[in-house]
Order: sequence, then structure tokens, then C-alpha cells
Amino acid sequence: MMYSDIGRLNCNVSYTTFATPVRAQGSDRKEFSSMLHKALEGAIILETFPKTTVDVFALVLESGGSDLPVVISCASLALADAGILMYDLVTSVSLSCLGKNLVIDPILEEESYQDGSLMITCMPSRYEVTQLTITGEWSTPKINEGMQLCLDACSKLANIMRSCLKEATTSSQE
Amino acid sequence: MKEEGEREVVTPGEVLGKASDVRAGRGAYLAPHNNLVYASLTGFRRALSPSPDSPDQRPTVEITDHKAHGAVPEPGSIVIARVTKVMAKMASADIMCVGPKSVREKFSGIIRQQDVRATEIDKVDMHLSFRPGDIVKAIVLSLGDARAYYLSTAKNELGVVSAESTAGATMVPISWTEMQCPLTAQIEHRKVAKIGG
Repeated sequence: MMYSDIGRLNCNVSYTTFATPVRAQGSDRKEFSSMLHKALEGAIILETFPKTTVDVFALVLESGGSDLPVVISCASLALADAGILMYDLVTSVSLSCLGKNLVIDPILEEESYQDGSLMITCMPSRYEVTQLTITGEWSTPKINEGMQLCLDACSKLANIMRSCLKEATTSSQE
Repeated sequence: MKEEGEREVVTPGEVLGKASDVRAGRGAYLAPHNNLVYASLTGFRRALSPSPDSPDQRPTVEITDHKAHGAVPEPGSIVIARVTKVMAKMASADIMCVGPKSVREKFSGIIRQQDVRATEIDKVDMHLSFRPGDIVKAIVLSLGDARAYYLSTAKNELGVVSAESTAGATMVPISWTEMQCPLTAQIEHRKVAKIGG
């Protein structure tokens, strides 16, 4: 049996039965694992660890909306903390379209009334998008506005994540 | 190589400098599309000045990881392994140390018959070279197959460094191929490593 010359990434997203107000529903979560994989695989320098698998397991204890972007951002934070070589941090932000309004980081209730949703996953300092998901009905100017809003939020989120990492690094040294 | 005294923490994706000013070392990479050097690890930034006679006078930036990782064998590293199983064509061993560092997880290695000695490789008898429980010094040949690393003892300084006799005493090497038990004076065959000297 041959091994892989590059590292492999294995992702799994699961929910506890008590994560949502309504017990164990939602089939769209089945694809969360593959979406997490797609979001992260472009950012990890897999060539640097042949014969190795990186496992990312996410368990959602309590769901409050915008789950997948939170899971993706957290996973990249965990990988950076674990010392996995990455091209950049991965940040992700979602947006709901409610009538004429755009709502960033929607809560569960807002998500249930949304007319459309948009999620951007990007590598902020390289300004590269690793994943873009759009559902529902959108007009082109709305998409434009939404994407700008998300990218802006992504770079803000990256700054917070970087300061968290730095804080953890300096405190672990003391 | 000398180190400059700075303790700046960087995170993956932070720009460390232009490719014309710095070279990417460990934990950093060069993005060819914009010729910038980025960090790829969380840790402390270090700048290594080049040796005065090298043609490239750019300093190398590297990121030292903030967390200590267990040692991982790679081709060319010298390992200490314990033999677990001896078969006619190969012996399997568990790698315990990589260089001076002990490993955290289990890595298994295989010493194939042709990799035991440097000469007369087809006449090697595995059972006259190793016994289960022997401590072996070996070099990592390659990443091997999916299960194990390929190890080699085909050098004078590589081979069995410590072995127990059937009487339970640590044996003393008496030749390239033999070790003797100090209690029973019984002689056993091994691929003995030349230590020191």
C-alpha cells in the first residue's frame, strides 16, 4: 500500500442533540464537513507533511446561527495554534438578506426568516477567497454590497484572531 | 549565523518582508505572485544574518514554533529502535528516539535483509543479526510504505547497541558479528554497532 506524498485533511462537523431548540433536525448539516474541508484545504501547506493526516473535529454544543462560518474560523484558529503550516488564517463570515436589509452574522431566528444567504471564506492577508456560498434570490448590486461587507468583516475578524493567538503565545511563554 | 535579539510574535499570513530584502526560512514562505515573504506558523520571528562569504546577503527570517512538538523521523535521521519481530527477509522495530530526542507517538520501522550490512548483502541471515528486544541504532532510508519507515544498519557505527542474553544479562560485544553474555559466556550472533573509537 502506498502512502500519500502530501498530507491529508480530514474534517468532521457534528451537532449535539441539544444544540438546537428543535431536536435533531436539518439535513443541510450533512454537507458541513465537506464545506469545512473545502474551506481549509487551500490554506494548509499540505506538501510539508507527507504520510500524515490532519484531523479537524468540530462539535457544536449550542447553535445560535451562523454556525458554519464560526466553525471554519475556529478550526483555522485551532490549526494555527497547533503549529500546522498554513498560507494564511482562514476567516469566514455569513450574511442574511431580509427583505431590503442585509444582516451580518445572523442569529438562528434571522436565518429562519431570510430570503437569501451569502457566506464568504477568505484568507484575509492574501485577499483570496477560498469559498463562496450564495443561496436564495439576490440582485447583482446586493451581492456586491454583501461581499464587500463580508470581506470587510473577515479582515476585522482576522485582526481579532491574530491578537488572540499572540496573547496565547506570549502567555504560554511566561 | 548569529541571532538578532527580537521577540516579535507573528501568526500565519503576516507579511515578513519583501523577497528582495529577506529570505524565507523555516515557518515562512515566499508567495511568487507578489514577491512577499509570509509567515506560515504562529511563533517568534527570528532573523538570521547570512554568513559573510555567501553570495546571497539577504537575512533569513524564520519562525520558531511556540509549542514543542514531538520528534518525527525523516530520511537521513539517526534513530534508536527496539526490535519487535524478526522474520526471514526483514525485521520490524519500534522507533524510540530520533537523534537525541525521544518520540511521543509510536513510529514503526522495517529493516530489510538487504539493508542490514553494507557487504555480502545476500548472505545476511536476519536471525543471526537481530533478536526481538534488541536496541538498534539505524538510519532512516525513506518514508517506506504506509505502515513503516525503512531503516538501514549498513554502516559500521550502526547496528545492535544493546542486547540481552537468554540469561537476562546485557551482553558485551566481542566482534563485528558476536556478543557474549557475561554470566554464561554464551556467544550470540548480532549485527554489532561500533560504538565510540
